[in-house]
Amino acid sequence: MTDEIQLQFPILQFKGVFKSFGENHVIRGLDLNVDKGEVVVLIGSSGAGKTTLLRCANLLVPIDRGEIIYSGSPVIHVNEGNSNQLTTKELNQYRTEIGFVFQHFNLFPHISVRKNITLALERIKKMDSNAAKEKALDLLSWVGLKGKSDNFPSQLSGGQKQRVAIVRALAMEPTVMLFDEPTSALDPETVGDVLDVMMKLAKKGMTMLIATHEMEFAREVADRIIFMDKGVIVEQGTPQEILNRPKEDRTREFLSRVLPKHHSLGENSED
Amino acid sequence: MDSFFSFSIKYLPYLLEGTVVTVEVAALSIVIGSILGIVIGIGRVSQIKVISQSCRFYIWLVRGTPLLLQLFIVHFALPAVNPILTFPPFVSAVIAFSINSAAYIAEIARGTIQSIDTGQNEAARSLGFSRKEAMWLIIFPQAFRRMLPPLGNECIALIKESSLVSTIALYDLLRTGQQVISSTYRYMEIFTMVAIIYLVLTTVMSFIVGTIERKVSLYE
Repeated sequence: MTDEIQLQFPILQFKGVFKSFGENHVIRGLDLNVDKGEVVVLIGSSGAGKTTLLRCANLLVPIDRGEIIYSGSPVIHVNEGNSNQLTTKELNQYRTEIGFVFQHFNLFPHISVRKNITLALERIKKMDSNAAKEKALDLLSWVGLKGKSDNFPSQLSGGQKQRVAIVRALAMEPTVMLFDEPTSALDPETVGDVLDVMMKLAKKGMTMLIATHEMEFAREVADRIIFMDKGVIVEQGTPQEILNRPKEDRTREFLSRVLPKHHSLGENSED
Repeated sequence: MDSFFSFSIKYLPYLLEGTVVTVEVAALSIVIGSILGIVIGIGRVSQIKVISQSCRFYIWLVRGTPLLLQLFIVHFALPAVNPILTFPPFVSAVIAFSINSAAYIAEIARGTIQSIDTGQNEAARSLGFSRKEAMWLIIFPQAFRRMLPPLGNECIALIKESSLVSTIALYDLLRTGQQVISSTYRYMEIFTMVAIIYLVLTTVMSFIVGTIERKVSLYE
């Protein structure tokens, strides 16, 4: 019975979320539902609020107003002068269920690749060290980094680091994974390896919320693309709808700047 | 007149006894001062106001007053407050130098902790680690590596500053030298030898610091 009830809820919900840094209003009343197994890609220029939205989702930054709901229960709820959020313990638990992949990887440089992955498994999930090691090695070979487990992060290329970072988050068996421009800091030739891994993850049914500038990747992987500008959702829909037939001027303008010329934008195409 | 060389050989054993005292005071003080300093340095970046302010006060007080005065307070003033607080010169020296170096090491600890990229803390927290776990498992081990070179420099400074203990009648390297002078009147020779021994100590120490620096930079 409870299963049926849970199915009615989106796994992650944002309701009227506001966030500003001083005078800079980064998120301005944003509503978003993410369903289980859905791959949602956030696009938009730098400063549109994509990164902040992701960071709000696991409370790396607190929100000013609004509500974030995970699996039907509130994570944080802030309205006029009133703020409720998970206790510190619950928040740490919640974060184990939300994997986060950073633009700059943020691997721990002082420990080996394997330790990067097993540290949280052993300390938080209380996993036996042999089992944790085995899990790390399995996942590393899944992302094509079988031989790198004893290396230190500084010995890896950017693309390899990011794949390790994905494995580190994935090893915790999160329900949702958040990707904050995971390929923006990479050399062009290593971007593909990271996107391949994300594609494989999507095919396995992982719920993913991805901020990216890789439009072709978005087209291929996304169930839904969301175009954000100045802290609000301007337009959302299937990749076809957003990338080929955008309704809003702001979307068109953005796409004309980021898409290669040969992609026609509906009737507006000059070809 | 003896040559400088044969004169040196004759009195070197005395000076080496003093050298042992100097090294002992410096080594004990750097160990105790490091432990104390790291605790205070971490306290300095605590979210709890009372803790961070107390640590800030300690650093302000100790760094703002002369080391020699601190040594006198421990050795001469404390016994006047309560006779229980009467220490032999060696113990007074270690107490005063530990307290003093802790303040400087606390600032080293604070600086290196704050030099660790905030992304490290965010990554740890996003995996579900608590603030404390993130500090002890992720931030501090990295900060500690960066602390080693400045800690070595602090150690070099301490070896030299420890010569102040000659003022509380502790027979360290300098005081032993003065004692030899009082029976030989060979100022230049003895002070030259004392200087050479200090130079050997500090050079060995900077060599160790250099080695550590190279090892540490491997991972960064």
